[in-house]
Amino acid sequence: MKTALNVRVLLYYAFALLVAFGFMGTLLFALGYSPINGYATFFKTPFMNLRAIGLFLVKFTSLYLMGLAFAVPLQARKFNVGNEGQFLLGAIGAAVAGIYFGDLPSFVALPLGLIIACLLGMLWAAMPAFMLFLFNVNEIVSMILFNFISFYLVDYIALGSLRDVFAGHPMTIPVSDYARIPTIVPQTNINAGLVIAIIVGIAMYIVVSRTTYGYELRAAGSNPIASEKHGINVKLLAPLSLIMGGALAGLAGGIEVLGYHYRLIEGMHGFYSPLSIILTLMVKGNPLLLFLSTFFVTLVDVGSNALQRTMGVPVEISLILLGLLMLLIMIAEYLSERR
Amino acid sequence: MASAIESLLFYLMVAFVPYALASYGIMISGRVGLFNVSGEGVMLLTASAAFLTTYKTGSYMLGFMVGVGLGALLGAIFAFVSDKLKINQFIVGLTLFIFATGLGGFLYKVIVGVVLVPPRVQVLSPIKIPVLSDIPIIGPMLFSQNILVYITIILGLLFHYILFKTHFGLKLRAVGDSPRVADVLGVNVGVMRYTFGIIGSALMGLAGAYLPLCFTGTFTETIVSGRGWIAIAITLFGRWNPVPIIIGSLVFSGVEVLVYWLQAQRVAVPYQFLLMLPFIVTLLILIYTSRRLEMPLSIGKHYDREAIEE
Repeated sequence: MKTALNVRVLLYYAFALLVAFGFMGTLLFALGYSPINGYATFFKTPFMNLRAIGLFLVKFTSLYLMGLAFAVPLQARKFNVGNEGQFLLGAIGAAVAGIYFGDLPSFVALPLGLIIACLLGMLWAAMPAFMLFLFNVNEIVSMILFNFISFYLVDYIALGSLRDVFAGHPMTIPVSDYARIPTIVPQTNINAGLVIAIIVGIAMYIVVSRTTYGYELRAAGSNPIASEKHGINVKLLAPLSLIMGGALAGLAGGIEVLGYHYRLIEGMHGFYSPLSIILTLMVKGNPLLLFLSTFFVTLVDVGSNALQRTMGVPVEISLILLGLLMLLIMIAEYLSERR
Repeated sequence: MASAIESLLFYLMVAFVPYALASYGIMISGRVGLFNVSGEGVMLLTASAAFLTTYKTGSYMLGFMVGVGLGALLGAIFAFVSDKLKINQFIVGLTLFIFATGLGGFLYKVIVGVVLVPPRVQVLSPIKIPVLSDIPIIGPMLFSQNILVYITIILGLLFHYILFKTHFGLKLRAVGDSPRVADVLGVNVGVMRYTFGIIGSALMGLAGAYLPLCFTGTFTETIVSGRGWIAIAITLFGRWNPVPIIIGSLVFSGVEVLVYWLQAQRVAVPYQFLLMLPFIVTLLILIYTSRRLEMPLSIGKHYDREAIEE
């Protein structure tokens, strides 16, 4: 059921955007903030200077990979809401590896850190995936539970023997210089992680749309019964796609630690998981369109943070705006398919 | 020692209510074919809104009404988008979860702001049932509780009676198991789905309002801490039946009280691992439940009365 990208559909989407942003302006106005200043802050701050663009691209990288982690299993109609925990496990892995293997030369330490991040993300996804495979346990509930466990794991490690005792907030000591991802634009946070994310994104697009595995994944998602009859192992494919998602989310956590924070910080996941869910659902998990929706959602995230800093508007406005937008998109789609 | 046990059992019942109410909500929505996973978000929003209302007006009644009302509103949106627009119920549930989580935190920050000492309300005082409340140990546990504890237990039994002992309950279950048969028998499937989708979400709203007003006395962003998700596990464990749901909820409030007790005992385990315990227990219960899983047969499916029978 591929929706043709015609003018009508675009119009509905534009209308949904307009209503959502209109609502945001009204909300700001109702709370006594100036909506004009609000919009200006929202859209200008992310591109104010090179530093701001750098921060934007760091968030873009994490959100894109998190979206991809949700998008791949979505092809098989599985909801990887566990990408939050997988991200944190990746972050833990990268931070611990970056500290303990920091003496190794950079061409070993850095890939090792990222690989450990991927593996831990996979492990965190594998447990609910096995529960799905062996016991048919609903993956949404089990993965959320694993998220909660991961929060406490981060707390344990950030306050454990690797704790940075001089920091007020729970965090580990920094990783060694050798384990860090090199920046590609001097004086900014723009690092090679962005390049990795883009390459992985294109690879995932090819996997999903051009390989047998991707075809089977999509078939299993759209019609499990017919797929089963044609010899596709639906029961195995869905858990495997979740584990693949785990690797992607783990990579996101690894890149954020080794390319930006250089340490594990409690709460570093922010709203990545809810934002990545929305941005993926907006484009139905298409890895290429995901670049577009990630750009938009990163703008919302960075813009909302700027609103909080400069005008004191709570940052949660990003979730309200995007949740509302998603509901409007559902209505828009219904209307455009109905004709 | 006796008073320690008395107080643990007292808190067992206090902690039991949000699990049970949220699980009833999921159960009754599921019984008409709606699988609503937005509970965690609904509870955060209603906890925030109910707390703010009671904090500002001093009225508990108003706080609970706001909580229930907001829950009902979100339930109406859930029923509309999933039933009328025929969108995957998990997608609708996750979207509403995100929206409500954002709105809950937002409202609190806008009205209270970031403060060093969070504002508090007095938790709702217990209603002592004469004579019975003087019984040692089970007196305080069962007969000297806030009114919601009594309501929750009665509600569970009432649901059991309606679902399994009345004609209406039979129709209600038919909507969840086989909407076509229900339709042929003259049950208005749409009205049933909306009504109980809304009631279900309103119950989650009540559970959310309960947290600050009867349990913690204050609002934090982690106030719900997974109860909305654990309630789904409880509902699966109870196979969508009220009485087993009461038992499941007691198990989880038991784990909660146990964790609290272990922390107070200063056991040699890092506190983070103690706090993980409820989630690990939930995972184990999900595995145990899977061996004899039962679901309302049409749950999650759209009902199109004009479609040709498969």
